[in-house]
Amino acid sequence: MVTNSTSGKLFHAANSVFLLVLAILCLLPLVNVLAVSLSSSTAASAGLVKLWPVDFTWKAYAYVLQKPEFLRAFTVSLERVALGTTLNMVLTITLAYPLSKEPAAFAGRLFYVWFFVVTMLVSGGLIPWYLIIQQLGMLGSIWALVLPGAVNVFNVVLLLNFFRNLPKELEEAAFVDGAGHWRILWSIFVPLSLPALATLILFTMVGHWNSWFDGLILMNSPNDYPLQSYLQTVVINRDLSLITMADAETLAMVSDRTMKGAQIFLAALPIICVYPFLQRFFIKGIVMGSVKE
Amino acid sequence: MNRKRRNTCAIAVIATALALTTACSNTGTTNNGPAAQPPAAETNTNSPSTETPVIDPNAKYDPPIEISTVRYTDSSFRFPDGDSIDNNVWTRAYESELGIQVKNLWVVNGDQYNQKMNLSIASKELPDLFMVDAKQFRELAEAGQLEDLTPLVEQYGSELTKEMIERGTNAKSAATYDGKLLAIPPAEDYYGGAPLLWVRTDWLDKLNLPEPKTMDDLLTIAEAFTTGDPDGDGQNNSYGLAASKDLIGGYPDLSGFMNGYHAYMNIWIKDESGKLVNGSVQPEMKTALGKLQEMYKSGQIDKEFGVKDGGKAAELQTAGKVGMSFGAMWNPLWPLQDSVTNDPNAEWGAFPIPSADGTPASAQSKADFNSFWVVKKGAAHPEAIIKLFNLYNDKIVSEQADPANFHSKDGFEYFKYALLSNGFGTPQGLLSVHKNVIAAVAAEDPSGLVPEEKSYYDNIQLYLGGDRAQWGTNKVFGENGSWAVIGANYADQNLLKKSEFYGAPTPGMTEKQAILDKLVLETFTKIILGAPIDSFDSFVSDWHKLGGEQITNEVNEWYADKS
Repeated sequence: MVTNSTSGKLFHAANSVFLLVLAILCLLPLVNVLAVSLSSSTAASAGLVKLWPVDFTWKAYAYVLQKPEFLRAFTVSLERVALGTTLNMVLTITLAYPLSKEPAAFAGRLFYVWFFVVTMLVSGGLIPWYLIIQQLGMLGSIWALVLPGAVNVFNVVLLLNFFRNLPKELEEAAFVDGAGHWRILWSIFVPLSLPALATLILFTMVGHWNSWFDGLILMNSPNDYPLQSYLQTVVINRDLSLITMADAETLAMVSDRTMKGAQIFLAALPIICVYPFLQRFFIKGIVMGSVKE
Repeated sequence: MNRKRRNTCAIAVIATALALTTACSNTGTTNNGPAAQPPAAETNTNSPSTETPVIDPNAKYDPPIEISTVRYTDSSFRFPDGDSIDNNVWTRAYESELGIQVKNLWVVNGDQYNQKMNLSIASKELPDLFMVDAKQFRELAEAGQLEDLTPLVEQYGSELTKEMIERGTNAKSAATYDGKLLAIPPAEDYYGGAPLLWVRTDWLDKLNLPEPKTMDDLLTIAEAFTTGDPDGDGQNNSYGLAASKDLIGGYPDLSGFMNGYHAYMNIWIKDESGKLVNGSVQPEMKTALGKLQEMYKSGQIDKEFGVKDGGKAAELQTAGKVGMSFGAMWNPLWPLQDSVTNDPNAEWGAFPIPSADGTPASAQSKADFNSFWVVKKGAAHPEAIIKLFNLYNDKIVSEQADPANFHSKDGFEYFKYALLSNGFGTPQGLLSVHKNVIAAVAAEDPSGLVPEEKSYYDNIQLYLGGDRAQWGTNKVFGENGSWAVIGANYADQNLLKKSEFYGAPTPGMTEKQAILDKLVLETFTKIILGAPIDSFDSFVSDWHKLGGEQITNEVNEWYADKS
């Protein structure tokens, strides 16, 4: 792969510069938000803050961290991630195992595979989705946030392919030694699939942490909003054709950019912390599931 | 190692099992909620209101009834300790004085209300009493899902309630469908959204310029603000006029500029023949756009305005790089207050719309009513809405009003918690608030003021004492502020161009308005950015072809029916 010719080196250098610039472009908005959140609010509203805080202050963070709404939403989000990720992973693992078997070993496999794959291709739409959740009585409870998306078919397919690549001999040996399917799944398949599982855990956690729309629609009170739904209501661009004084006062209050910045940054923090630890499995996990020998 | 793994797995399995069982029990309890309602309602069918012929409008429900509703809150809602949107002075008053227990089926943050309401309508899970926008109102009215309030207002309405409903004739007709009053209409307020001209008066002094009386003055000032280095930093980096990608609305509002040329964007006006026509496609608009194009070309308008929303556009103004903007009466609170805080020398003045010719210019004002309180068809106690409105008017507006307990006190705005509150109950409007406040400031006697006025009075006193953080309130209500200009010009000289159409959206609008709005915005932006000015003519014919003609006919039919 690596060539020592001049053109090869040149290509390599150009590649590195290109990717570096791309990485910096991705990083800059985040740095800007951080700088805004640490600046005085007048400097921020005048658009003077670029990449370094102007009139450095912790005020926005001090305010946000004592704000009950923010803390409550943070707790709801943590709860959702813990519950949702556990549920997702258990269901994904138990579903991927039987589907990874040959049709000879599992008679209804083809039917089940299509049964799940169809949901990847078509969906019912917003209103039917809402009606189902409503009629199952989940509106307003945390279950509305974790149960409807508890099986992610894409993740199942990923894990299923990973399972198939594990040496069959291990499984056969285990059978000979008297292990059942459960034992084989939890004692052999799962420990061997850790890279893939780490990837899926990361996907699921980030997905749960970042989703905001379902929270807005399915919760019956702002007290139950997860963090991103709450943030959406804070940072959304307001309709400026309002006419009442109360609206204008609200606008003057919520247009504080430092506060928005602080909340956005705090909300991104947990994911930023988790990423480096799980990221090293990331590529490995996806690639290993993708190629079939 | 292996054993440890297995234990973890076992725990995971148990956790899931637990999770699933709690899910089930949870399902049970939520289902009980709505199911428990009908019996509660049935026990009340023999209450005096439905059976006895003689009706006492003030009768308290005994036993108490339950009314379901839905609410929104936002970050400006603050509650005393222990209170919430479900339990506060108003809900307690409803229960103790009327025997009505209010139950909130859901509560959302402000901006999500409409979306959530749409889902409630789609899933047919309507509360007894709720607020809708014009489009939802029309849908529900057509589907016959709303209770007729006409006889109820007659039987149960207090004098004040009737006055509040009758006061706004246009609003009332917007809340009427098929001759029946189906909603409590919102208050009429045409001044709140009308554009004013805001000018950096300290820059005017510095560059020795006159105040803008005509559009020519305005163009001269804009040029001087751009090239004359008004901020004194030796660089050519300031702009004459603020603009955003939305062109009009609250801030910055270029409709004010167009009004100077007697052009009215997106509202319905009467032409010489007495027919209603849309202001966006009239020849005056071409002139106004031509002027804006010249200003853009000579750098008087931010080169990047086409990608900036109002909040982003405000940054330039706050940073002291823009000297003029058009905008609504609340602009001093935001964004001008930020500019004044940022720069100790900054001072903004409010001016009426200058005119391009001898005829005084009129400021345009939308007339669409967009919030209606309605009662679901078949609600057990439809008259409750009238009783609630009676109570609200009684506590806030009437002679026996109790503002300290029900309006606001110590920074808690109690009136926001009330049902039917938002814009439904200011009988005199903000113009009279302004008049009372400046009279009190002149006399230095706040004793006759209601709490809302008193809070503005206090802020103005702080400003006069040297607190620049209160500059905004003073500029809205104080001397030479927004309302002073609105009162002296838009009200007293009748220089306000209201949209002549205020009905519910017509079928053509529901179908095509969004496309037309986009066409208007795109064409106008392109022309300002430098497209040939004659493209306006082909735009006008496109506009008519793409549905404008149909809508114009519908609007005129509506207008003929109305009178």
